[in-house]
Amino acid sequence: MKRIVILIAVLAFTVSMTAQKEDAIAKYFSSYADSEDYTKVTISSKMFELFTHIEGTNEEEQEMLETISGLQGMRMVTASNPDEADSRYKSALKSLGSEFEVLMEVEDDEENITIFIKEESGMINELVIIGCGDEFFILSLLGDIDLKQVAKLSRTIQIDGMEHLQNIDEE
Amino acid sequence: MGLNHHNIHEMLEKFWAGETSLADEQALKEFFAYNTPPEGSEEMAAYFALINDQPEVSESFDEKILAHIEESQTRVFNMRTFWRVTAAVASIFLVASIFIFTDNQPTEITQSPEVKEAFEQTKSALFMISTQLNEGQDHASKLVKFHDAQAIIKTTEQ
Repeated sequence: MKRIVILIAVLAFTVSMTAQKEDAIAKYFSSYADSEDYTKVTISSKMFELFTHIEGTNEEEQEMLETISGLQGMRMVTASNPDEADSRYKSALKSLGSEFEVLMEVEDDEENITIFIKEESGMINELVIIGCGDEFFILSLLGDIDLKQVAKLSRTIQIDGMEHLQNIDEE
Repeated sequence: MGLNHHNIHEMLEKFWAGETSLADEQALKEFFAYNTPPEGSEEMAAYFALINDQPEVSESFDEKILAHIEESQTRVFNMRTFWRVTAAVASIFLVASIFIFTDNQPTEITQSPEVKEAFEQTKSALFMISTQLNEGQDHASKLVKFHDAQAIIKTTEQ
């Protein structure tokens, strides 16, 4: 009986540890959670599990669902005050831990975007985007992330759009 | 009292009446063991012969019986443990089946507005990431083209 109790306790501990896997926002930007200046969106791992039961109605959704199937969580914080967006962006870049590597930086007149990734055993298991323009935002994606698959998403939608344009011409 | 063919019948009557002592019964056993049974008492001779053939109860008999009883009680305890384990396993299966049942009912859940809203949020986020990745690639490819163009111009000038 003691063994069973210990086994159940170990299982519960394992489940709770899995559930408590921290993303970058929880780890480095937890102070934002208490601030009313930020809008917070969290999509839990359970919700991502539910997404796997959604049936895609078109190619775009099928691609999207395929990409989502490897994900375990998403969290985003945004602050809409444009005057502070730039300073928040610079501060956030400094706060992120060294385990994240810069994948890409895009800076132009309208916005600044930096994409970070965290790899383990050659696999990307977290992607963080910090950006500012009209608003400041941080977005974290947890799970097995296939960058090629993600990049393909917007192209699929663009191709779909082109097909519709072709149909209009034909009409 | 020494038994012989004269008083054996009297002793047997006492035996049947339940009035004999242990010593009397021992005397009866010995009589039938070493003497020809008198007429009419052959059945009693067979009875006492049978008793004489029975092994003596050893002094450890009680201990053995008690040990056997304790062993039986242990078996009862083990059965209790078995039922406890069975109940625990059944509980685990019950909890697991609830999860499985929940997982087998996704269609209704995925139709809920909360899930749809979350899905739309995720789609928007992924689309934004995808767009940024492609924009970055486009910028990079433009830089590569610019670099190639510069190289061509330099080569032409030379």
